[in-house]
Amino acid sequence: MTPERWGQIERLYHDALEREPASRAAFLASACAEDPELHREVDSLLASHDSAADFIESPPEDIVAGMIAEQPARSILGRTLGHYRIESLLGAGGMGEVYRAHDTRLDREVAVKILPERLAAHPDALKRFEREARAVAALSHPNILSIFDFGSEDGVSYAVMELLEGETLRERLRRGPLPWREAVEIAIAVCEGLAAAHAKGIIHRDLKPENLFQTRDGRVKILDFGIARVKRETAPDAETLNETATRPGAMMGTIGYMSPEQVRGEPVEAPGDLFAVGCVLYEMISGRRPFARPTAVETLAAILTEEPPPLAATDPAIPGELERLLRGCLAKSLSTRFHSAHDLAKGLRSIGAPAALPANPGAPRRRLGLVLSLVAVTLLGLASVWKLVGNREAAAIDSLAVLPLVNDSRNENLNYLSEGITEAVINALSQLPQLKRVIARSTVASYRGKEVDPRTVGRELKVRSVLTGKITLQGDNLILGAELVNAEDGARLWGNSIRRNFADAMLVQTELAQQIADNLRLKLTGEDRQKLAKNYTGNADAYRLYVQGRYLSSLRTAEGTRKGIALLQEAVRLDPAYALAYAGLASSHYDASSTYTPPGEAMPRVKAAAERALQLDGTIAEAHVALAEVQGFYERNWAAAEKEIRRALELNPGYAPASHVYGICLASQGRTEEAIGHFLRARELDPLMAVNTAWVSYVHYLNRNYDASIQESRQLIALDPAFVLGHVNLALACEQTGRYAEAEAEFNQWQALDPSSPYPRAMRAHLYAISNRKSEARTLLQELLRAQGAPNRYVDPYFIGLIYIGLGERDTAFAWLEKAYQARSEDMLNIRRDPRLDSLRGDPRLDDLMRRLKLAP
Amino acid sequence: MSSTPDEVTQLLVDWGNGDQAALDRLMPLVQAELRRMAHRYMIRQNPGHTLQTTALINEAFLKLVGQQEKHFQNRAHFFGVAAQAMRSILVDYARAKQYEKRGGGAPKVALDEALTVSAERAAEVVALDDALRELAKIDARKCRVVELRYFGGLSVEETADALKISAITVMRDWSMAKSWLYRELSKGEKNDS
Repeated sequence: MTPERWGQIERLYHDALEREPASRAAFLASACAEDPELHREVDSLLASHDSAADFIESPPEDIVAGMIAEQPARSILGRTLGHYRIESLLGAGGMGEVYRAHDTRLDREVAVKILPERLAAHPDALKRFEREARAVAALSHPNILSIFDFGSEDGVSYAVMELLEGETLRERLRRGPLPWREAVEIAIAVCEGLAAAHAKGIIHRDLKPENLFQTRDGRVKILDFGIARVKRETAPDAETLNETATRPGAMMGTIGYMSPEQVRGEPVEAPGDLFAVGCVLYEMISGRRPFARPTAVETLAAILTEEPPPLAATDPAIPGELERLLRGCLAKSLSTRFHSAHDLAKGLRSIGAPAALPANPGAPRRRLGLVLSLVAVTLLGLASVWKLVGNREAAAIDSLAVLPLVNDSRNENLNYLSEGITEAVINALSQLPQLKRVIARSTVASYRGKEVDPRTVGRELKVRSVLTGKITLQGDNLILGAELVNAEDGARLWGNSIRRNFADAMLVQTELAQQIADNLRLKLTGEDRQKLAKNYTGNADAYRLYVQGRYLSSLRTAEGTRKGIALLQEAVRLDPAYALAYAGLASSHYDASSTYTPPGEAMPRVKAAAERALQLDGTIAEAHVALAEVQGFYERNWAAAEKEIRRALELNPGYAPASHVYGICLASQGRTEEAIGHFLRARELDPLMAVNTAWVSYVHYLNRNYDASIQESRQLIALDPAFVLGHVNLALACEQTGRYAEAEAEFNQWQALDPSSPYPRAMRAHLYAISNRKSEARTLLQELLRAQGAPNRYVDPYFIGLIYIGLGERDTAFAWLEKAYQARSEDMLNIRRDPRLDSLRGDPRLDDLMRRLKLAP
Repeated sequence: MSSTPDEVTQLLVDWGNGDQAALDRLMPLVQAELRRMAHRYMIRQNPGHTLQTTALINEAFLKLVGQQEKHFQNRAHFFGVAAQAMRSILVDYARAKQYEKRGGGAPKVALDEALTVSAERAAEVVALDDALRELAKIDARKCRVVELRYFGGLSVEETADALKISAITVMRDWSMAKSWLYRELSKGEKNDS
């Protein structure tokens, strides 16, 4: 229909309506005399008008009401999510509805779980859930519900799972208790599923009959891994444990299976799941929960303090061995409870077979269990590597941030170990040329103790993968659980737990480094593998002293450095061939030189320790860098220093301190154009280390690239307004570009941050001297000179010299520069490029100074 | 939902200025909010309470844009978007109802049988939606008028504001569209029988 025709119809329609109904027919007949089609059209519309009185006059509120009256997700029926057509509702629970759906791509029936909308408000929880569920999906164990897929569409997040025919254990138990043999069979199957999950560091945390499923053909499946945590994190406030604890029946379903540590709010590990297995087993046989009480509070108290009545009371035929195993599950204390699902399954199996292993789950068997579970870990690890290689097309990942391992035990002494392992893994991996960037320890340290989304870390540090992990102690065993995540999509690339006797703690780090390298699919040479596998000591006590010493030194306090040095000295006394500990000593002595030991004493110690380390093992990059620091900054032997640093970078191209020190060496020689690249590299590796950016900005200043310098400084200040070098560098660049007021403001900021320091005053005196405020400059200068002898008031003579240069008193200036030279001023090393010396350029006295500083004039 | 009232308001302004892309971004926000509200009504389990679409849309407006938005033009634009969103939600629902009655096999889980929407009623809404699509091809503005009045529950004046046309025009469009749609739907009935 053309618009003209439609317009014609509409006009006639309205004209006709404006007439009396009786005269409409005549009107139309005359108006459409030559167009019978038009006549029919308008006539039929007028007829509709007469009978359509109520038609669509009121909004379809019945539909709205109907929609609301029914389950909201009803609207999802018949819809297609991804390539899954939702067909019918199977069940609903607190964590969403489950539907039967048809997978239109693979033409099979599946179950689709629609996650509750409130998850959308907790993107972190959702992500964690997804990550964990992906890890579960990767397990593909016959006793764990398979997860096929995830998706999100139109605000609906869903998980696609295998469709099971059968019933939950809860439904089964409604018909009464089970014969003990059948109950034990189910518990064994649950343990096998758990063992696979635990080996990957995945804990269920909410095992109960509702989450266990028995298929029609008798198979047992564990459902809802990882849900418990999400549930807790996203629960509306009113559903917190504290508030419901006093209401009868509230949360009973879950409370009844909580372990004592969970009740206390402590983290739940594998033994927590085994406690729940014990509760479920007890309930299957007896028909009642072991700690059932009328209210939640009483139930919680019972979990913490009471023993359930023995099963033999209900059925004398129950074997004593089963009672013993149950006690091993339900033990209040972690030290007497089962730790391994594998061990428990083995024990349960032996009940049915009289000729099996001795009935007492004593030490030898536990040990065997440990060996077996280690084998299982290794096999599973291999399987997941194979899967990764087989399934993933993605390019190898070339950047990584190893976040500080979390000390998950209550034992504070483990802090040093988590730091030590983190540092060792970073150092081992940064040696690999295949990895372009492994973020330095000083930067990742800022994530310590924070729960961060690996994708956020990826964005902030511009890395493609992130490793997180935690260590804990179980008896004599050190357990390290780690997870490697693709920072781009949050997908878990790999996860594993490493379990070692505490005495072998030093083996954990090499194992972890190797596993990470393998899982990043780096093509390693034999030499690379040797580097990763390298252990620097075989002496467990020396190792412990070493990590403890490093940890204390890394605190960067005078006290920490002093204690750290003492422990490292003790470490090399126990193992005189411990090269890495000598390297640590060299670094710690160097740190001491900038805090409490005069350089004249500290530097020879740095040198001796570094040389000793290199004698023992020439491949330690850290020792080469420490040696370079002494040679360059103290002995002014630039050529030797550069040689050491280049060697360090050959050995460990990703070692941030090497790039940093290289930059300073070059800048000090006035090779500021070359220096900038090394500072940029150092910043790439150690992005949160503000001093790298400070150097970038300072070198721009030395290069007279003031705008770039100002820009860097402003960014630095924006990031951390309390970092003084941002203000110092900004002030210097402003001073050189005539922005005197801004320069003064920045020097004042600095002074405010460091009220007792004489340096802001010295810098201000120079600023006044060159900006026509000479009398103010002289007043400040006199103050500085008077204070020169007082402790903590000493100003590097170089800066006094600068003030005299600003005042135009050339001879006095040179006298002070000479003093600076005698005092081995470090700041003086910039004289070749420092813009504040420009008025002295060409003076033979300046050339002479530079020559003596081994800086080519 | 990660949109601030300011963002929503800006999108409304942009759309008012003829930016179609703004509507594409606005629609999912409004739809999600309407769904969420319908969900909340369900949770309250108060099926006896008759819910008005205008009330729902007003609530969505307060949620997404906020009380402080005094600019009546933006409000009018919002109602325009909301009516469209409402149409798509209700029609989706009606289609699902039809599907289910055709043997989708879903168990009945209505909280109140009295409020259950019959398959016939669902079919009517779906047919109306189809007819509206046809009308839009001939006269898009009339389709919008129906959408706002019927699915959005807007008054003649509100509809006029949302479409920036006079109230007289709204009434004329409404009359013509109603007659046309009624005729089209009657045709369908005859064909079916």
